[in-house]
Amino acid sequence: MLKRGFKSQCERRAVELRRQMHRVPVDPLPATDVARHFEITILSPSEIEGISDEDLNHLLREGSNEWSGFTLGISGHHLVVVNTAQSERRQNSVLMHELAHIILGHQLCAGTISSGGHFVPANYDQDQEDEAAWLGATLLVPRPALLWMRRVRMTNDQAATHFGVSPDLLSWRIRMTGIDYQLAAATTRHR
Amino acid sequence: MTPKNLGQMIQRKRGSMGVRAAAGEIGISAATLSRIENGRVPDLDTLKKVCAWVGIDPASYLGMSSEQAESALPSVQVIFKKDRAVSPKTSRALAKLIQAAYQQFAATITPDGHG
Repeated sequence: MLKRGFKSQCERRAVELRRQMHRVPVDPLPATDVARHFEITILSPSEIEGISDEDLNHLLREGSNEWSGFTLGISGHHLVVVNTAQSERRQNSVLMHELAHIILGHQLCAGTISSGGHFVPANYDQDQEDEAAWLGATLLVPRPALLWMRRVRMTNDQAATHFGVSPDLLSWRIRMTGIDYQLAAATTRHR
Repeated sequence: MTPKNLGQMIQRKRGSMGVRAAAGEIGISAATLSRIENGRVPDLDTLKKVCAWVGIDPASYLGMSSEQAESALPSVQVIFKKDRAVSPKTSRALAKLIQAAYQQFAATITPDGHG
């Protein structure tokens, strides 16, 4: 459950961050630009040294549908590795989700490697996951951007392309913000 | 103990009990239990619940106590596509990628910041 006022705070952050980065609220905000703004390192799996071709090929081919990325934190610095075998829009939302965790100051969760060499993740904090999901999606498509796409009569697909997000993420934002109800109510009032 | 061994132990303990009923007793979803029985690697919290139900120490799977495991990699977060119970091969390759990334990134950080 999100804290009271959190959603409005996310909208303000999304607009404020665009302002700091010299953009208007309806401009797309690629997650890679946000990472650069916060000096967060991003590497692709193939840029990691010391991993065998066999493991790399597995992670980017056969096993590529099982993982999306990971974040490491060392002494206050962060590295995000995104699965480059997934679509660019998916990479954009995964990276923004991870950046949202960092922006919100969340503690990274623990994990370990078993004696058999398997990565065993510790359990996630669901509240933190919900917060990062909400902020990440809001940073990508803030409310003013959704109102704008309706005003200029952009289709959902055109808007998803403009903001570099999946049609699913865009539809989720439209539903969660209730902009269509808001616009319909405004039209009724003006009749 | 391998992920496959754990899956077999669960199946033995479950016997004729249905997956849904066993999952309910353990406190996890039936889909997750089914995946672990098929040799998928669970997350730590799920592993602890399953081991408690089977009556084994998670250390026999992890090679360390679950307390040590919780602080072994204190600052890593992995995003999985759909489910955190991934195939053993992906889990092992991911472990290697994370360790390599950790070493590479740590080497770029100086006490003053990024080197």
